[in-house]
Amino acid sequence: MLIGIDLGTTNSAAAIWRDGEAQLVPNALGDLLTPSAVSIARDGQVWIGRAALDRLATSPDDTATSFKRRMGTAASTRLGGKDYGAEDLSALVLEALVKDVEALTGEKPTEAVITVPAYFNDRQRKATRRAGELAGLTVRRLINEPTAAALAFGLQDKGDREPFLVFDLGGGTFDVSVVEMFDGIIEVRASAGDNRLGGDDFDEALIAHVLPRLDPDERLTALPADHRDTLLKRAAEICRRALTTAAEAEFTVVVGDSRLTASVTEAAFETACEPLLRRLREPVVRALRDCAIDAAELSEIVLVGGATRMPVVRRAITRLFGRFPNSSVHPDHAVALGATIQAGLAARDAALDEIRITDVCPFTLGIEVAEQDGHGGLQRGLFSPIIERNTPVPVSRVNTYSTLADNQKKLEFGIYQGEAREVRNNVKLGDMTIPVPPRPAGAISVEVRFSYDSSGLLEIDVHVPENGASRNLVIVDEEDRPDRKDIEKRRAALAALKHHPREEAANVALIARAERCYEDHIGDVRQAIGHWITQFLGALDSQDPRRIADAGAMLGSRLDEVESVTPL
Amino acid sequence: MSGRPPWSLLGIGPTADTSAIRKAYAEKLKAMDVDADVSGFAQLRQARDLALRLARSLEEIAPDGDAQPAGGDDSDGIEDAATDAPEAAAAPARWTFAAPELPGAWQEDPFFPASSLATRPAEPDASTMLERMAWAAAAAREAGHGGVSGAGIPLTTIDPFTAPLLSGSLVGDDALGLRPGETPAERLSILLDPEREDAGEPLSESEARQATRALRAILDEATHAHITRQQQIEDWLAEILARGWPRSAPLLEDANQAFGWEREWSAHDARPAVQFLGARLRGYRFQQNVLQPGHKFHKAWNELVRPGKAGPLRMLGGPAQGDVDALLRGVRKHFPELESHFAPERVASWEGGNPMLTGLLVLLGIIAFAIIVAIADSKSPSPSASPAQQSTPLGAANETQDGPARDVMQSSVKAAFGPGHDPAWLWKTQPELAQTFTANVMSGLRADEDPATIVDKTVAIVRLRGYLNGRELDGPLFEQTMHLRLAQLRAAQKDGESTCQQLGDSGWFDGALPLSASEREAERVFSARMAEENKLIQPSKSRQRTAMVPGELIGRVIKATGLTQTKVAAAMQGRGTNANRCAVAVALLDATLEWKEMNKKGGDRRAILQTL
Repeated sequence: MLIGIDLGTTNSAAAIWRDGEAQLVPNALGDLLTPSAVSIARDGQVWIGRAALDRLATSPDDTATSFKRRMGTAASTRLGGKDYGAEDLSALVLEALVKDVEALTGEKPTEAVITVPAYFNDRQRKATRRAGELAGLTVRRLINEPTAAALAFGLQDKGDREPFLVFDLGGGTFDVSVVEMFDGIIEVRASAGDNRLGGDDFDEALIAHVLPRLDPDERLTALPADHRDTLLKRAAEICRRALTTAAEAEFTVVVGDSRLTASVTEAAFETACEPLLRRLREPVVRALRDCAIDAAELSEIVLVGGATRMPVVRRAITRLFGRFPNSSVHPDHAVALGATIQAGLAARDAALDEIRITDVCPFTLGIEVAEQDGHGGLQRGLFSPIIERNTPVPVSRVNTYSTLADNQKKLEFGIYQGEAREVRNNVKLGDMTIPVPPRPAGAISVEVRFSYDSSGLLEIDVHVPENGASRNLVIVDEEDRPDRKDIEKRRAALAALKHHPREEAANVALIARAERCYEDHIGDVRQAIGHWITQFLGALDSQDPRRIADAGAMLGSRLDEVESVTPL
Repeated sequence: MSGRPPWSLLGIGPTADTSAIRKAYAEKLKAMDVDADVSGFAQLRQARDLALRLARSLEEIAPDGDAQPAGGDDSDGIEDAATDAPEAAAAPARWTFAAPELPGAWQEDPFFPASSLATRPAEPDASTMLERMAWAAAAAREAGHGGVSGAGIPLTTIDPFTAPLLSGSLVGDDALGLRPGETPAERLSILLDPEREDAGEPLSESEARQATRALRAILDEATHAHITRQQQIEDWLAEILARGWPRSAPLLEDANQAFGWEREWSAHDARPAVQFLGARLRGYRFQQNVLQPGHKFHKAWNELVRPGKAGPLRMLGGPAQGDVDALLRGVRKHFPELESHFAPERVASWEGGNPMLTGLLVLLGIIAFAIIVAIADSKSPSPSASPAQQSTPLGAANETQDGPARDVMQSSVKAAFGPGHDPAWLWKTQPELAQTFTANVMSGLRADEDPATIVDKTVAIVRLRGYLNGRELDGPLFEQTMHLRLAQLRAAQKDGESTCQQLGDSGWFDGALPLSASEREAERVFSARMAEENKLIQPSKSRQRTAMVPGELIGRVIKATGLTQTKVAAAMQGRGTNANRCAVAVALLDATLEWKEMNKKGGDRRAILQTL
């Protein structure tokens, strides 16, 4: 079975293609969104999703969130005494989603279409694909998030549409795509983005704004950095969410037995976010420039991504475009639904027979070259683009390069992605080395072919016409050649983790939540919560399903009550 | 798309109906597996884009829609027109200085903060640049039909000097030094007007204050405006600041902050104005830093800006020779514009070299290559006037001409190549050029043009092709090309400054030039030779060109023209009056042609000639 997955920075979701339409799959708790959070205890016990998020408060050292931002980097996170890369943690989330689909349909999905931010680079895409493999999925295709959202939006009525703009501000990344729809063709005209801008940055801006007032006694400073950051980040998220509906909200952190609090007005928050809001403009301008479409010609501004819920962001968008954006798609669901439509397309589902989608490569790809300058000197480290940004994909382009020195024996060059003239300001994707027969300078030419497929993965072929040598065993990315064994090893390590049985998931999440509430409160309320937890654990020990269910419902409603009251 | 009409790939006939084109594209796309046929997909997409572009240009020619071509004859012509039409819209742009080159050694110097030395810009790829300009122009055209910018605010690609109509509440504000009814934008453009008498001087203190306030008001409006408006303001401002350099120097930082140009200017496809400003701002930052006493080159800088010669004891208590050398090298390489701050005599005495070296100016020009087709496209009222019937066998096209066409064709060939040549010869040697001749003759006749005008036009095509192709050659043909070019420019100068400017900017003037009989003869012999060698092809490539012009040549130009150095420099940057620019171009070409003793640096001579 082929499914669609939105692997997000904050939340992830899976959807299946059923009865000619895309449907979201609920998780064990009945939610359509699973927080992208993983918590692993020393004994190998693992929590994923809502429960893991709640464990941030009680076991910050064992819990990771926003790991998508570290995708494609070597950075690892230490949880429960072991190191995990972003790929491993993403694989755990994917695995949880796979199990949800299996629970719903009785069939284990084997293939998936996974979404990535349009501005994800080749490394990040390959890392995502590996995460899918680690979770036991064959990744049929990676699809850009704004493209997926455009599919979901475009298929609402299947009518022709003048160019519209998808504005996708997620937890960690920002993408803009200009899309057009005609005769069943959904065509991405141009994409641009900032893969380091998202809701998380707004949290950080809020923390920076509030911290001096919040913690004049530097109580937080005494905490270990990890713990402090976790506390602040969680408080910021809650405060930021509260600000979407209220003009003023409390920023509250509980440290030990004391509660630190500061109030934040929406206006102050907006000022704090000003530099971030300004960064929203550039990708929009670039995308519009690249496809030569005037902002006034856009038929809609479609909002996607949880961070577009923020009123400050909405206001900035309205100001930017001089009109109100369109909110007809669900900002959290559209991407997963679009991924599933793509899955349906890939599976050639009859209901999608008349639909095609074409995407673009949002960044420029090329190699490092040296050039003679006018003064007889040699300029090194220059970027020679082979595939220009916003070229429709799949695409295959070839450029010819020649040797610079007499009797040069090999050509070495780095492969880069980016828009800067000097390669050192671009993202390096790998190196390649080609032996060539010795000849005078310039006598040897080498053809370098870049092929960029529909998933946004790059393949490179090099051909030396001089001796007919042709190579495609080009080392594109060291990380991309992990031995089969390595993948197996990592998969085994993940498999060794202890997962809670699915039927217990609700209770596990409930305990995590109760413990988090315990941390969040002080005084009498805290004592009461502690008492309720003990009661519920007692019920669990009895192993009497009926008693457990009753105690669970009771605990849940009590926690709802506690949490609905604004903390003192 | 080598000559194949795009419609055949889409499986439709020629049409200006965009929805039909899209529909055909959609059907073809649905029938293929793009992942299995990558090149097929690329071709389909290209065909669709070309067909859409053609449709657009058809609509422009006949907005009522009756330009819809009926048959193969017309359509082939249209295709040809559209292959080149976008480039025809490209306007020549000139920037004084290429952005600096920043290789290893210099940037690792501790006194050059790495952050301010982002990158070395390469020459932008001409075709993409032209295409982009064409697109921008097309977008501007479309916007003019009723978009937001229809409100009388042309986009800067059309006319950079039309200020956005800023609504600023600051109008008439005394603090800004605005005259009644004057907007901040108007104030700023007046202060930065490159035609001002004091355009070479820095802004005075009060002017700087006014300019900064006006800029702030403009930026303030931009921050609160929607994106189309922001873009207009940004584009306009980039142009104004670039044209107003060096007076605009103190304003660059604010504008850069507001629009994030710093992120763009190191990009391989940065807009020319932003690229230019980025290079200038980095130079300006360097200048600000070097003025600080702690800077490594502070002493060397102070020494070089002092007027007068340096004495033999210059090293005593002064800067180290090494620092002066390094500063000079660095400035010349990265920030050539800063050398104007140095006193030439002092530089000369430190270099112990040639006192004539008054500085390096960088010349930069773009010549759009598609101008040949532009005549047919822009000057003729109907699409059928476009050149060349590619699907018709060449011989047939020749034979089907009726009487008057044959006569005009005859006289055109003779006028261009001399009496010993006839159309048959041209068909044999350069069939593509012969096609272009035919097409222009036909279109001219259809438009009831005077045969003499048509002949002039065809001669002009040959002249342009001879020049554009000839300047890429080596040896005698290159020299001939340049000598002819000098004669042509001089003739154009005689004809009037607008002729000269047109010829200088675009390489193209479609009227008759008052050349002497011997010059005309030389031109014909040259053209015939080029044709025999199959060199009068459609110029395929046009690059942005730069050349360093040594002070020695500038000195000669100053002498020959009697203009001040500032005016000469302005003219070389494409500013100043047409007459000045024309005189400078002629004098510089003349001086460079005579300048043969510098053969060890022969590359420079060639580069200057190619740029002119």
